[in-house]
This record gives sequence, structure tokens and C-alpha cells, in this order.
Amino acid sequence: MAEKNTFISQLKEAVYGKGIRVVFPEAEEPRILEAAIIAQKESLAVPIMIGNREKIFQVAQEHGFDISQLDIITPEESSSIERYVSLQLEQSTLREGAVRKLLRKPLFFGLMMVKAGDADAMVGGAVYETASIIMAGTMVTGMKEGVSTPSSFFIMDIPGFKGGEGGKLIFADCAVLPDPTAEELADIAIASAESARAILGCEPRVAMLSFSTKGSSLEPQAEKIVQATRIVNERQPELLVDGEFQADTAIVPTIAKKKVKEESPVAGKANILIFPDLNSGNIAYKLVQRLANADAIGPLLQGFAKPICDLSRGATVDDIIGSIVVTAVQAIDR
Amino acid sequence: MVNENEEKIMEIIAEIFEVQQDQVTKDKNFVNDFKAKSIKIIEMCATLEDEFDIEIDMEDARKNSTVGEAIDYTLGLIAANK
Repeated sequence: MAEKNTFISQLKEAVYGKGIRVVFPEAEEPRILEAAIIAQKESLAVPIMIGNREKIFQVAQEHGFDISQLDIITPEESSSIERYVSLQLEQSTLREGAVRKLLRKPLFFGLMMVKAGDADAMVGGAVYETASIIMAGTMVTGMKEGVSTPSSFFIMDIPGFKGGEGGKLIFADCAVLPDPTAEELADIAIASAESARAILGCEPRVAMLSFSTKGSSLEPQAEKIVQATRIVNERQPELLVDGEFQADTAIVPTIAKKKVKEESPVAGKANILIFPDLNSGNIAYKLVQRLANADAIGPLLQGFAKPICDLSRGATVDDIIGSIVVTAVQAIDR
Repeated sequence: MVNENEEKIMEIIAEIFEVQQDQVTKDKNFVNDFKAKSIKIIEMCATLEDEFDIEIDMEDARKNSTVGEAIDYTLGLIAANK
């Protein structure tokens, strides 16, 4: 997510001055502090830093950062804690003392701010593991209506590619679910459609990928994709989804014309590709990135009720700024 | 000999994972035997933190895959806290 990425530049324009409040539960991490300072200076977001105030000031001093304009909240000192405890108790069987313990942790406190509407999105993962972000997100913000599985996606910006959405494709899931069931594939498809609307601002056209096109194979692996497509159709009849398709059928109009006999709003013009499993999704994104010199933006989490970002733990300050922007875009108009 | 803290930890595990207390033995695996979802692991940690007034690092705690490992981990934190 380097600065030079033109797509990120477009998204920066979209979030500029919108005042999207982004909460950072890893405020004691220097890369996070630096990225938050830049995001605030450039009016890309309104950062809310969660952590131990003294420690945050100490880190800032060590690195020569001016954090005088940043909002810093230490969970145990927050006046919102009682409200958050009540909110969490409403949806949990946990005892009150356990909820209090949880909400003292910056990750849970930050997510609760988003759930309570005191912030719009959360960016974490520079220190926490992906599994922790997913677990905490599932527990506190919960899932989007109609989706029960968290997943991830990449935005692939492919030079010279004329299809998809202005040369861009959404690939999912390439990072979270190893072997999704048909139900989970349907969740991935529905969440990806929502991500496409929020980030690319487009009408989603979802292709459910396989090694088979419209019954050309009767193998159970292809049947699973047929079943997943049916589930998406049942759950969201208005969503443009079709499959099972081979990859070329999904994105090449001439191939689609040959292989798909019936009218399809997706064949040959898909802008979202749903892979049958993590093997195929992960391999595909890396090959497109390397062989087609594509920018792979992600992995970005999806399916949660609120925008939650899981950074790579090796993320640079530029990467973090890119993630702040992509996450903030998803919070616009929510 | 099962000490008082160990007994309490097992009680909490039975309560959180909604299993009979006699099912909670040290060899039981949270995922395979209790079909635990990840949220349950968080709930267990938070309840143990509250019960024994300790701080649990969720990322460390997630590596405990069996009841026995969770007990040893928690007893270690209780001892360090004294």
C-alpha cells in the first residue's frame, strides 16, 4: 500500500476532510503513532489512540513525535467504561467482572468504541495477531446482517486489464478461511459484494469460481460451488452472482459467450472472484501480483458489522496509512 | 491432589464451555473435545482474570490447547501474582 499507488490516492480524496474517527488499540507502537499523526495532518481521519497515556508519551518522546493534537484514551480512566460494560453485558453471558477485565484491554475497548458509535472504524494488527483481531471483532462488534463468517479480500489493481471494475478485481478469500463450506462461501460472496460497493463504489458482479463451468464437471468440489451460488441467490436475490465458472469464463467476454449458454449478468464481466478455498485464493493473488505486476491491496477483513482492519505485523508507516484510508472509506455513510 | 485453585479453574471451564464438570479432565482439547469457538477461549480467559485477579495475555493463552495446559498456565500466573 505504498504512497505511489494511484488507487490509494483516489481513496484519500474520498476520505479527505470527512472526519472519520479511527480508533488505534496499538497506540504504544511507534509505526502506529507516526501513521496516525500523518493521517490527522492530512485530514484522512480523526485518530483516537488507545493505550497507557504515559507509555504513549514516552514512545512519542523517544521518536520525536508531536502528539499534542492526538486524542488519547486510557481504558481504565475512561468515563465511558460503565456504558461499555452495560452494552457488552446485554449481549454476553459473561459475568460483570470478566467484562470489566476485557474492556481494560485496548483491543476490546477500541472495538467497543466502534460498536457504541464513539468511533467509526478500527485499525490494528501491527502488534496483535490476525486471530486475535478476528476473535475480538467477532465478540464485540459482531457480524454484518446476513453474514456469519469473517473473511478477507484483496483489491487487485491490474495494469493493462480492461475488465473487472476499471481494471480492478476483488479476490476473496485469500487469507482467512482454509476450507470454506458452501454456507461460508456464500458468506464470503455476500461480504465481498458489500466491500466492493463500499470501496470501489460499484455494482457487484460476483463470480463463484471452480475448475468447472455450469456443470461441465460433476465432481463434488464443483457441486459445492453450485450449492454456494444457490445459497447466495436465496439470501440476496437482487445480488448479481453466478457460477460455477472457470476463471476465464468469469472475466473474458468471448470465452463466457462460448461456455455459458444462458443469459448471465456476471459471465465475462465479473468484478468479484470468489475462490473455492484458501489454496486457490492465495495462489491466485500471488500469481497475479507477480506475473501481471498488479498492486495487491490487502488482505482486508470483511463481514464484521463495522469496519475493522488487520494490518500485517510487518506493515510500514506507508502501509498503515493506506490501510487507514481503505478502512475509513468503508465507514463513510454508515 | 487437586488444589482449590485448580478445582475452581475446572469449574470455570465447565461453565464457559457448557459441559458437565466430570467431562473436564486435563487431557481434554478445547477445540476437538469441547468444539470450542474462539469466543469461548476469550470468555474463559476473562473469567479466569476476574476470578484470580490476574492479567492474561490472550495471544499466549490461545496456545493452550488442552485443559491441562490452561490449568498450568493459570496456576503459573496466580503464583507469580502472589
